[in-house]
Amino acid sequence: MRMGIDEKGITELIGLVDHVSGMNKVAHGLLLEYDGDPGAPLLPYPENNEIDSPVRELLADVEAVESGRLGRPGVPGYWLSLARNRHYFESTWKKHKLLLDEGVLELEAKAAVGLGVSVTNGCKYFIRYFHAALVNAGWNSGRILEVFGVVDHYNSFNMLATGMQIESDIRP
Amino acid sequence: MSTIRILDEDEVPEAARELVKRIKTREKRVFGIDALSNIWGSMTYYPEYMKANWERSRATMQRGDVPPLTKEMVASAVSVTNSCEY
Repeated sequence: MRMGIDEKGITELIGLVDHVSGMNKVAHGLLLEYDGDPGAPLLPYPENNEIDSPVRELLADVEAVESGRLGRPGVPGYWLSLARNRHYFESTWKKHKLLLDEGVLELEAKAAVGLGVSVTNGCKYFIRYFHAALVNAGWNSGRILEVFGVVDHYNSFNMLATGMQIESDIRP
Repeated sequence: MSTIRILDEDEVPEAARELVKRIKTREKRVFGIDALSNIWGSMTYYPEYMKANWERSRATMQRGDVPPLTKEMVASAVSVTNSCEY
């Protein structure tokens, strides 16, 4: 897969997969449910009086960026869950903004990639998250189903290639 | 080493030859490669399976409103997630 994407773009794409996969596993492990889904997270969200000033500033930034991305107010539960550990939260949030909101790749394509990775990893929280981002960007259900078609088709081909131990003959 | 030997093009069963030609045309256009890639080559023993996958490939990758590059990015991301070296 090159199609005009340069080395930085390739690195950005792999970085995005790395980042979303990591978040998928954390959200899965924390038993997070996207707002509106039933169930309680593994770790309770911090109370207001447990949040110090630098974390409060970070949460304000999260709310500003994520409400624009998702088309709904508030701080997503994922970020609240990380807020008890300032350094982990801050470094993850910075990486998130770097990979989702900056770079050379188109932002909507990145949300589609996020959805594809989350579906492949079976992470309900981030399936809802990236679905919300795509809907907020104007994608209808038919368009989103196209992403599922690609996910299905490539999970199938991955299975075939692995099962047959097929050697790659496609090089840049 | 593949589980099965990938057939040379002159060994491909008659029932798969037209399909191989069409797949090569698309792969040349999309990926700029001249030969049939091994993933498709591995299916030539079973032309009906190859045809079913080709039709799904066209339906999912070539049709619809989502830009082809976005689809290729999702496909690559899925393959990385699955640690699929191919």
